[in-house]
Amino acid sequence: MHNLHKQKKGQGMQFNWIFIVVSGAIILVFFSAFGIRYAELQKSKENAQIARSIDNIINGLKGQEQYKTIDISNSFNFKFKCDSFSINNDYQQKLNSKIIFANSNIKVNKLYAWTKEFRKAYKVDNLIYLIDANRQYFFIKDGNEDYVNELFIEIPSEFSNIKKISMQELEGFDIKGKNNEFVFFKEPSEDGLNAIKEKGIVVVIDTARGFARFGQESYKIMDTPLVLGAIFSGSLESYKCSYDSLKEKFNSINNIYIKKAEYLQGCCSVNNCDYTNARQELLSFNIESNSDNLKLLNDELYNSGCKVIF
Amino acid sequence: MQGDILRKGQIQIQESILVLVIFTVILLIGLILFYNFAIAGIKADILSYENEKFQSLISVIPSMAEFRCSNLGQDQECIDLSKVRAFIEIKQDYGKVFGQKTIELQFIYPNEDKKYVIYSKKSASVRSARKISTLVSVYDVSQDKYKIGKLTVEAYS
Repeated sequence: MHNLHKQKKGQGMQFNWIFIVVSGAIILVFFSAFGIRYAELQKSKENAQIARSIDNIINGLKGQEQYKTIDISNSFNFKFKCDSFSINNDYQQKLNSKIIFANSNIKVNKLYAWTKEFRKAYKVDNLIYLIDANRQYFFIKDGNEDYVNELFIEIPSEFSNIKKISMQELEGFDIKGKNNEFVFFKEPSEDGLNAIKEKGIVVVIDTARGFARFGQESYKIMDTPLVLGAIFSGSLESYKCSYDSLKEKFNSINNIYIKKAEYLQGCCSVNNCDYTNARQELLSFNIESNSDNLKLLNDELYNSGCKVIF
Repeated sequence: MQGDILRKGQIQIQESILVLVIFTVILLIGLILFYNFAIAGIKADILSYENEKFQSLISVIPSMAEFRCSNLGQDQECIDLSKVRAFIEIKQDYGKVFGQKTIELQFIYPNEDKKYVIYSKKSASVRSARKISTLVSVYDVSQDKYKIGKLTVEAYS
């Protein structure tokens, strides 16, 4: 009887321990799961805040030519997909057809956002460049120094990560890490390329033939804003997508001006104002066209006392 | 005697299990509530941001190259009515830019009955609508006159 009582007491003790371990484990699992979920939630909130602050800056920049610095204390993964961007592969922010040139995938804690007007006889849009402030950009001036100097004047002096340099100077330069971009304005020599291709991205800008080369693939460029777009996109895929959006926007605006020319012909062609030539020019006008003739026709309308198209 | 001890032990086990179950349920409810509050907070943040963006749209539209006046390539602070007419006539897909909205322009001075529906996209399942309007300067090239217009943006969600 005494032994049985002792055995029961022992079983009770055992049960207590099992109970404590099981209930403790359940509580621990609950709190751990909650902790993890809460941390994820906070991270998502933080990602959303970063994305919104970038979007806010972009929206603010759209109005006029200016630049801003986006400085975040922690590094984040910035994935740009032409019509949207995501932060840390989590929060996705739509760009509502804004034309942005940026690297497709970078890890940054500081970005420069810069706006530049794109104009083809008339204003088309303000292009936005999102530049990785941690990346070193080397504009290699050999072979096209005047153009590099002109281009460099356009770039805000606060962008200290962009340098113009000769190939000779570059050889003696201590290039750190692999987050670099080498921009050539003349086809580089094989030796020159071999010396730097391990250190970063190579982009070749051929202003004479009007293309930008990213590795083995090329795409058209024209006008300074698009040259800068190619440089700050850093890859064909990213540049092409933004270029196509710009082309779409250009076509929309051009169609509006065609209709406006037709409307002006109907409503306001006093003093024998003739909009036929300007309309004809607009019909054949595309993003790659030279805009001099169209500008001339618009100026002629103005000089004849007619309403201008743009 | 032996049966009593056994029953007492069983009752104790059942009590302990019940306490554990109730504790777990309370904990679960607490966690779900907390999580839902946190999610609701994030959703409210998103909504407030969307609202901010919507408010700013009213100042973005008049500055768009599609509508803005220009003279010899220089931008001017007004909406070009001939461009508005052209935009309406062309019927280009601006869904990506404006989303689910109606954008209208109406003249206040001189008062005209005509309303220009610049853009309209509204799905059948609209739950709520927000409206904002502002006064804008509109240049009517056919009369060579500047008029005062009311630009209204209505967003649906």
